Amino acid sequence: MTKAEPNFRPALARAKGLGTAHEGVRHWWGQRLSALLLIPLSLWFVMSLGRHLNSDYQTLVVWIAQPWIGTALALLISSLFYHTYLGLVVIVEDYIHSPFGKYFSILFVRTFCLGLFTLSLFFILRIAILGTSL
Amino acid sequence: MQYPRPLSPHLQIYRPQLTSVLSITHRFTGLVLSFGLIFLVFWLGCLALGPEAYVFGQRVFSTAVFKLCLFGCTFSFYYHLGNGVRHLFWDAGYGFDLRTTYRSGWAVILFALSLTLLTWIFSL
Repeated sequence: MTKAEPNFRPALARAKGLGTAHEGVRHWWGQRLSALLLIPLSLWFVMSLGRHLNSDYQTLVVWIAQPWIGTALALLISSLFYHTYLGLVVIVEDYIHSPFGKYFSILFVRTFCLGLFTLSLFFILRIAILGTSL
Repeated sequence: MQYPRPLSPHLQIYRPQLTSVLSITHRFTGLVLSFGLIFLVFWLGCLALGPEAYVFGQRVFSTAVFKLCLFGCTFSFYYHLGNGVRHLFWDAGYGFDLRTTYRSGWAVILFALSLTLLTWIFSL
């Protein structure tokens, strides 16, 4: 008999099926997990910025181009945009009441977060490439 | 003409408490930080697009308006971080009694204010 994968939904919820919102727990977990990741990552980033306050352009680029630093920065950006997206969706759901407005506001938030996220990743890659040639 | 149905007074009559004020501040600081994200992306862009772009960025970063925004974002960051940890403890099931809630609430305010000041004093 195969082992059932862990399901965090309560038994009654599984029996009754998904409620009116059709989903929500993933949102809740995503928010908590990204928050846990963000605690060390964001503190590290703020401290690094503090150390590099008076660094010039070259120093910063070379610093980010290092494998661990660049990766940590990319991880920070990823968790940051995911966490922000989830938070903004909650705000939209709470304050925008018309279904039309709600749908398009969430669409806008998604576009905003995904767009800036992709842009940030591109920037980090660009910096990494620049840093190896300096 | 159709008038919207009246609501009984709520925000204007319910006495503000530490719990409710900290809760809405948590949401507000989160919103502030999502705008602050734009600055983060801007900073990355200045680094990625060459030294001239970075010089432009430094000019922006030296303005008083930007420094004011950065101060607001710093406080928002530390507050949201502190209160976020408080939330995570609640999610794990700890600290729901009123006394602990109030104590942790004041601790969050202290944490946010002191770290904001420390960060800014350190960076002068």
